[in-house]
Amino acid sequence: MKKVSQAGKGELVFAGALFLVSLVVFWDTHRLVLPTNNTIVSPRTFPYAVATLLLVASIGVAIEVLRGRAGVPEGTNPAEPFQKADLRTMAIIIFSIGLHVFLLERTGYIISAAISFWGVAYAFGAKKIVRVGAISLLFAALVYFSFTNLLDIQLPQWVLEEWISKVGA
Amino acid sequence: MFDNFGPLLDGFSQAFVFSNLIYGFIGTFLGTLVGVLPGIGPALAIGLLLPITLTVQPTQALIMFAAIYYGAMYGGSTTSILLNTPGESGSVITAVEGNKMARAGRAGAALATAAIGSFVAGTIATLLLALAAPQLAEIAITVQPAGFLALIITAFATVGTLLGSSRVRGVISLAVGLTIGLVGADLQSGSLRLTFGSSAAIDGIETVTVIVALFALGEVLYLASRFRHDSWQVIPVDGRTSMSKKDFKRSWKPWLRGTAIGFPLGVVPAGGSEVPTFLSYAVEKKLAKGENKEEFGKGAIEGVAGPEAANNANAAGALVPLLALGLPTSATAAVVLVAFQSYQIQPGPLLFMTNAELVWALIASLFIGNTLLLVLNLPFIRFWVKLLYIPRPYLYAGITTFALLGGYALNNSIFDLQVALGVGVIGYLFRRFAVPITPMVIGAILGPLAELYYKRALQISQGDHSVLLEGPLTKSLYAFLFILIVFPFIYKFIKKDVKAQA
Repeated sequence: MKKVSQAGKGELVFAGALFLVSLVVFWDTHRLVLPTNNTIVSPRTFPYAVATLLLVASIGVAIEVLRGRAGVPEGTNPAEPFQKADLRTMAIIIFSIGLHVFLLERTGYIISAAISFWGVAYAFGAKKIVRVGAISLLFAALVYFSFTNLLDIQLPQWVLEEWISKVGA
Repeated sequence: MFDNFGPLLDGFSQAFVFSNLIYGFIGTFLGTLVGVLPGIGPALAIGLLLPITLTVQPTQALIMFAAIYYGAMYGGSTTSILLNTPGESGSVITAVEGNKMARAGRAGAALATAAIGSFVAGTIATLLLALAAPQLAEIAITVQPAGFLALIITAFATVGTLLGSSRVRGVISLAVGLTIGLVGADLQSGSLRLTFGSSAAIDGIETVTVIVALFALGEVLYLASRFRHDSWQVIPVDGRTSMSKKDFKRSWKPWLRGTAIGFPLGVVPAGGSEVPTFLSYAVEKKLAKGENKEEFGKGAIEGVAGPEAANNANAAGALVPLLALGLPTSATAAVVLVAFQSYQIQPGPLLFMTNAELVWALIASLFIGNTLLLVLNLPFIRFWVKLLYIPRPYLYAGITTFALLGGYALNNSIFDLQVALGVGVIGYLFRRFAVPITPMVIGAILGPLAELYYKRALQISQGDHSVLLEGPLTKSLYAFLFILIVFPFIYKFIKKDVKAQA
């Protein structure tokens, strides 16, 4: 057995997580409430098959890694030493998207979209924070009004939008 | 064979109404606009633009949609030639020679051969589509549920094992997709699966959300993870975007060969455009002679013309099983299927009977969209190139914003957005560990369908499993699968044996 690289360890965790998911599917299928009427094919059959496939494939990936064949992402050179993922940039983006999901129906579209736009732009190295903030707000407002007015797609509204539409009218 | 031309002409007369042409124009514009943006491939472009097409009439939506389809693909090739960051697997090969040509100051010729090649391939392939799809649909009407199940399983196996760096990674991608497809109420019994008490999950997971999150959020997160290591440089387009006589002479055969390779591989489930574009490249490299051969690896025009044509012909070919059988064989075709369903159109053998007018309008629109592209885009290439200069922070912030909007607007559901965030993280992990994305999309969409056909087959046979192997279609498909799965092992074994003897 070859020595498992740093990247390989990460992939082992990934395979392990999917292994756990397959166990969850097994468990969920097992406790499934069956319908009272008699069906020819039980609603359990297909999920059991899927869970088995996931289980086998996750073990297969783990074996691949342990044999020294860790996945090499597209666009990277396998000969180069593994580059550590930029966790800070990623965390800011995930947090921004999470905030958008949390705020959308609380503050309305413009504010939540402006915040997530701003967060992602900041994560990717936009420096002039105030200018980026202004662009974010403008962009979110532009998207909001073109979608609600031109395309009739309703997005969550809040005081700010009400206020702007009053000024506009 | 020729009885298809009557309805096709009717389709043209529908599509040629002035207001419909306007929709075609808007679609071409938007499709190219979104497709040019780095990191956005055709599947994502269509997914993102889906909400826009929902507000117009079905015929107009289809026309717009056909234009978006070809526009997005054209935009993708521009990006890969000038930026060398292909947005989708079909453009990877184009980037190999195309980017080298651009670096050598021949960006104009590369863009022109890509555009004209796409047009030639698109036109021939759409014609073949118009001929083949109705024939296939006629045959498909007689196919039993067991046959459909066999077709789906074949698609699973080919998509899962042909793509990506290793077969086991393709299979795990497929399995994750199938798991996502399980979520929600079982269609037949109503039993709740993997909902964990969430009432929003009962309806299942919205496929468009999965696709948009996988391709957009997954890509943005992946780029973020490599943010400090990557840089890019746009190659300016000097001179005119046109080809010399010599370029033409070197391009026209690759265009036709690319079409011949791309279309059939789109009809059979070969897992999208990766295989045909690569094949076309290999063929052109092999056939090139003299100094042209020397140019391969340094920017040979044949290496752009062939794969680009193969890519476009492949996309049209994928519409054949989609329209005639209701089976998507690539990620892009999967989004098209979802789009159709959102217009209340169910692709499949019955489509040509129930919605014939609409289908022919779509096929006519594909011709028109393809032509509009050639007319509009080559002269305006400089405008599209400007999009490549959008600063990266704003570009990614914009992509994220539209992905979140697309994820939410379809059902106005916060649950969909939560799913999007989760699937985005999965998309990142897949990229990080070189797991192909397409099998997951196919699994999520076709999984529920596979279960449905399985149940139907067993209902007809009253639970007798031998029905699954009945008929010549199922038998030959499973035999093909057996060879596909077993052959590589035998090959490996023989290779080892030969090595041992040497």
